[in-house]
This record gives sequence, structure tokens and C-alpha cells, in this order.
Amino acid sequence: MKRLAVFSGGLLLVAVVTAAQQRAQLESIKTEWQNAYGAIIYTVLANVKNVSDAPIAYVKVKVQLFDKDGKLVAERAGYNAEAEILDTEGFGGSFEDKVKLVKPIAPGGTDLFRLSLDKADIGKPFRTAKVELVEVH
Amino acid sequence: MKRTWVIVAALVAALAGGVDAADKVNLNAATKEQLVTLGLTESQALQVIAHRAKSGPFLQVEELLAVQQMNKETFEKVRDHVTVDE
Repeated sequence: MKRLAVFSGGLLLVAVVTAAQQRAQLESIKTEWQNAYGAIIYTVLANVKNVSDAPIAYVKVKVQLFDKDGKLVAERAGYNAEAEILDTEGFGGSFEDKVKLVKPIAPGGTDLFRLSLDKADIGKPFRTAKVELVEVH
Repeated sequence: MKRTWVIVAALVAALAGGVDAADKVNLNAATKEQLVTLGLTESQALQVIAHRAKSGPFLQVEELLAVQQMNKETFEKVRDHVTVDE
């Protein structure tokens, strides 16, 4: 298991890539708080890089927030930007049908990963965000 | 007045090398005066309190950057002197 820790904005970000998932890597991970017309949103941004020699259809990334004692506060998962359609319901048919609509990440290519959590859905103070690549297809 | 001395003591301790967690100002309980003492303008301090009232307790110190009228310079100045921990 390979671990990459990035200290950014006073927050320890930990990206975890298992041996089975070394076809892709998360790079330039950063987080930011945004005020969207009064809605307070915590956003995780990263670049997903295809480090293999074959196209990648999509990747799934898990974000976990931990408090100062290491207790899980919130968890959410999402897909790379080109594959965000996979998270939608009732659009594009079955999951397999939607995958066909996704533009793959070419070998050596990158795509954005972005995931936002509403402050109201987090609920408790947290200190650490763990960003983990959980699926590569 | 006593509260002001506590803040001043915290700032002196910070200048002497690091701020203990116990000396940090809790953003979820800070008064306007405490925030101003840390270096926020009065207007920024009021925005912090308004943000807290509208959106609930701060979940991270970095959430300060989502407060209206807050800027990176002010945030960097106060970040090591504030906490959200209970």
C-alpha cells in the first residue's frame, strides 16, 4: 500500500493508493471552504492521473473526514469529473449504459475530481480529510 | 477587562514561540472584542459572529475563509491563534 500525505491549508490530507489501484493516482489534492450565496460548502479537489498504459473508464474516490481524536465524522464518495454522470439516478439508463457515455482518461492523461459536502451534512468539527482512490476501471 | 488580558497573554505567548491549544480563542464562542484583539477588523469580527449564527458552529478553522469580508492575509494572521475544538 502506498500512502501520500500532503499538508495543505492547515489540513492533513492523506491519499491512499492500494497496489491494485496503481493504474491511477491522485495529485494536487486540495480543500476549500466556499460560501455559495449563504450555503457553506466544503470542497475537495484533486487531479486523477492515469499512470497505466491503457485507458481508464472511470475512477471512484472516497473522502473521509476525521475529528481530532481520529473518529470518523463524515464520508462521501464520487467519480472523476468526466464520469460524474455515474452518480446520477434516472438518467442515461443502467450503470453500464452510463459508463458507455463517459469519456475515458487516456494513458498519461488527467481528469479533475471534485466533491462538495454541505456543512449541514458534516455536522461536527473535523481536522483531517482522507482522500482515497477506491475503484479504477 | 480580564478577558482582554487573557488574549494579550495568549498573543505574548505566541510571540514567545507557539500557542498552546488552551490559549487559543474558540471561534465558536469568541466575542467581537476577542476577534478584534486577534487582528480582525470590527466589521470582520461581526461577520464571523453573523456566520456562526446563520450557519452554525465553525467545523474547521479554515472555514473562516468562507466568511464574508475575510481575506487570506487576515486568515493567515489569526489561524494559529484560533480553534474550533470544544
